[in-house]
Amino acid sequence: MIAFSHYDIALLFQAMVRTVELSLGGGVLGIAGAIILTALRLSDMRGMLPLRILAVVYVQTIRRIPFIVTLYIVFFCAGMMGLDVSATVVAIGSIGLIAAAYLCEILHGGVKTVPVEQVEAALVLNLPLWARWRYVIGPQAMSAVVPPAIGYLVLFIKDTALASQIGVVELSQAGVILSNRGLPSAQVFCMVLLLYFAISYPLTCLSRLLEKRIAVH
Amino acid sequence: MTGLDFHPVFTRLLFLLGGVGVTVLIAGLAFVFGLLLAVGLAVLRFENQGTWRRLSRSYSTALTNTPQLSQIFAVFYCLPLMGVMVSPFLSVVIGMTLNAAAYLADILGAGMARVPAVYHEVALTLGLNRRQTYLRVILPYAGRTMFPALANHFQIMILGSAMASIFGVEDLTGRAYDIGSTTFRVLEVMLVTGGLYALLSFALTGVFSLFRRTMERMV
Repeated sequence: MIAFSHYDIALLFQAMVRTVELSLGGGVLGIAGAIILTALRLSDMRGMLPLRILAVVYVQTIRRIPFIVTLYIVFFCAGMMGLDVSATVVAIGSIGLIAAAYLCEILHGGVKTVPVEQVEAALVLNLPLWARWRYVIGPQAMSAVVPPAIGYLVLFIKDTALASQIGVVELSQAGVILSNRGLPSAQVFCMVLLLYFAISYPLTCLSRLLEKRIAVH
Repeated sequence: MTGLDFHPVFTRLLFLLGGVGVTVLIAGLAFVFGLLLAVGLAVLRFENQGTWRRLSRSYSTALTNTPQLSQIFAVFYCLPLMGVMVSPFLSVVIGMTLNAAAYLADILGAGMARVPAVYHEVALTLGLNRRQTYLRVILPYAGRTMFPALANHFQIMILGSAMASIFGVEDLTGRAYDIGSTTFRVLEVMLVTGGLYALLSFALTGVFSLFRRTMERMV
């Protein structure tokens, strides 16, 4: 009683690839943005103060705006600035903007869990900047950063479903297209939900595993 | 970049502000019903060892690993097939309730597991029955420790309720989209809407911390 033809399967498959692209692209941008934002927030130079405030305001505000609204803002901003970019690029950019804010919060929180004495000791030992981060702060912050960061990445894989609203044909949009073509809705949406589950569940397990691993140490 | 013109948005600001009420209503309804379902799921998980526990766990795993949007789509398209005609508003609330129940059950489950064993023993010694133990001992205790997590999830639901606009519900985002399509000032209206969401969220943070402080003082 399966109503899918191989064209439908191909559409679903392409859409799933698009969802993965959105998640990966957004994730990479988000991580890069989060590192820059966190660096700004942690910098203690006097001249950096305005940038620091800007970073904090950005992180605090963007996490309080629904993803779909941010998506529309970026989409229409790009249009008004005359940028000729595809909807997919806009979607990846917006996911990156939001992911950067959330991941910055996680990263910043993680770095703050490292006891001050550790950083001071590293300073006293005259370790250069990279060595402080590589051997002292990094390894200790890791346990507080990696599991929630992966947990968050899982969350926003599901947010990519909203990219359908600016015309990206990703998994949830493929479901709507197939359903509108007259395929049985129940089967279509079960399939879509299953495919999302197949992407998301392994990552959830990974995050849980890492959490346990780190708790053991 | 051509100039931004906020005037058409400000003349319709009252209409837009009305959407805040709808947004809070959707998130509030879904949160309350989701919480009720979640209490059931969490108790199921807590009381049983076998199948029921596994079922309750699987429910959370299944719904937390799939997007809320697709879940609402499934409700929106599949309920009418089963002969249940519901309005878009209701299907969004149902979809969000089912989704919220999964997350809230995880939160409550974790909270209930953290209630010290002594509490259970004391309740038993006092001769409370199961229902009384849950209603008067375990849930109030778990509720207090879980309050920040619950409040946080409510904030997430406020943001999530923006999806209602996709189904034609006139919540804040839906109304913003309406104004955008009649005035062609989409960017301006979306900027204002984003600001309103941020204000709403900051206000809720304030209300929650106030509520928490009063609660702590009362106990």
